[in-house]
Amino acid sequence: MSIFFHEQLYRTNTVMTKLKEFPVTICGAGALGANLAENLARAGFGKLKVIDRDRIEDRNLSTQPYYRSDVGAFKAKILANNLYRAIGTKVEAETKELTAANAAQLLKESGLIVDVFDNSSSRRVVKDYADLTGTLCLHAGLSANYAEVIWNDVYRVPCDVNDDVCDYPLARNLVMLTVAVACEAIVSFATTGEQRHFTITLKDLVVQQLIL
Amino acid sequence: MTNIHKLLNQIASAEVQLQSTQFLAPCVKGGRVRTRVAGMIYTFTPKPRQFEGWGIFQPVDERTATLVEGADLPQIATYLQQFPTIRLRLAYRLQSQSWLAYPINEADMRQRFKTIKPVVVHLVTESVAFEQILACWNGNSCWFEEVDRCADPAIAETLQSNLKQLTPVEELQFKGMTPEMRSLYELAAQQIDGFAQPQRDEKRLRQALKLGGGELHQFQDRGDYWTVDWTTSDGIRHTSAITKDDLTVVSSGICLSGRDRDFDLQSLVGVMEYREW
Repeated sequence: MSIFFHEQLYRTNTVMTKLKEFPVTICGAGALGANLAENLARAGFGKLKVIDRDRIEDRNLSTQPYYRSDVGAFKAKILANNLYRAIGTKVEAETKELTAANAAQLLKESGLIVDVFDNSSSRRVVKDYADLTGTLCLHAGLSANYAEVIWNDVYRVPCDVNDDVCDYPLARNLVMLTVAVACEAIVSFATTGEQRHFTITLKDLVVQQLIL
Repeated sequence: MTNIHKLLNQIASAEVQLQSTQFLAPCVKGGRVRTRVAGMIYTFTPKPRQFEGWGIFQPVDERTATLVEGADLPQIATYLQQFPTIRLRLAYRLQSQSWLAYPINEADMRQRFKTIKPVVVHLVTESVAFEQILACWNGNSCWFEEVDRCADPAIAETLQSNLKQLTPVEELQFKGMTPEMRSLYELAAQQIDGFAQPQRDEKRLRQALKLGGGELHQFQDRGDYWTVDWTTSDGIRHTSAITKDDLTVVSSGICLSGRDRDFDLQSLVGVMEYREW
């Protein structure tokens, strides 16, 4: 019996085989990225790469799956270690900053890029690379009590007014909802090729498919 | 019978192959790295010399191996899987990433390793004193694997808190405590200033007087009792003889009509202040 037993019963063996071989690069290992990486790994994705240059801080512990003893360590490295210890999935961890100069090298083997960075300049790098190379890319982002999961073709990089703010309000429930929706959008794409966009509002507790 | 020339040729060939083979090894700071070829152990000085951690090494000559890159967790785990795992609790840091640890179960250690003793664990990257860990014994050294997620973290915190308060080993007591934890605590306590006997005696006397409202000035060891120089809250100075084992009064310094031993150091303070007994 596989450790993905329940997922397997729900998705079928054919889908699980696809997920296992589907290479996903997650750009960012913060609230969205770390939880998304964990969700994808536990859902059966076997070829994951995480890029994040940040280190864990104690204020991250409410929204991100790290431990007190991890504070000070690289997020990407701890995430990879935790998932290997938990379920044996080998996640490739990259602790460099993603820039226009190294994007080609860091993103070259991605079947799908997931942009969950917390700043517009890094999101711009991912968007530009995806546009230039035609690599499939999904962007997920949060703002106050709203979140969106948008495919690259119609995505617009937000303005940099909220960049580098570290004391923003953020509800864990919105994070987890967004992660689940993004994860389902990725599974759905990996199995059917369909690109679905979503909006989520926490106060209304609404998840809607965004028709563009 | 084995042809000795054939055997030597096999070893020589394996040695040549080693020069072009990368190997994974743990390395303590200032230490050396080892690998085994054809049943023979080869030891190298790592380059850079001060490297500490798990690395992939490439031999450059018979004595030196260059660090190619740090090993990742799956590689380390594959290496460690070859050796038996033992559960330990960390006592204190010896140097850098090396800690002294004690088994959580002496009987288990005796059965599997034929000995019970504190163990030096290397490359402990993520832990604090008294935390329970998993380590691997490769027959020569013990290597840190991970913090034991089965362990109750409250135990480590309780031990840390007792150590901070300089609780004497013989007074250490909490729910779930095992003899191994007491041995571990004793190991850690030996490293802490304040656990020396005279300091513990002073703390005990000072605490007893404080609870009664008095203050310790000094004391002298008289064998099985102390003479204690102390003051009551109104500033009057007294000298009393106090037994070491339970702090009962041998001689209060005033006339208690032969009832000195009815009191201990703490209750003596009230007696002296109010002269009531």
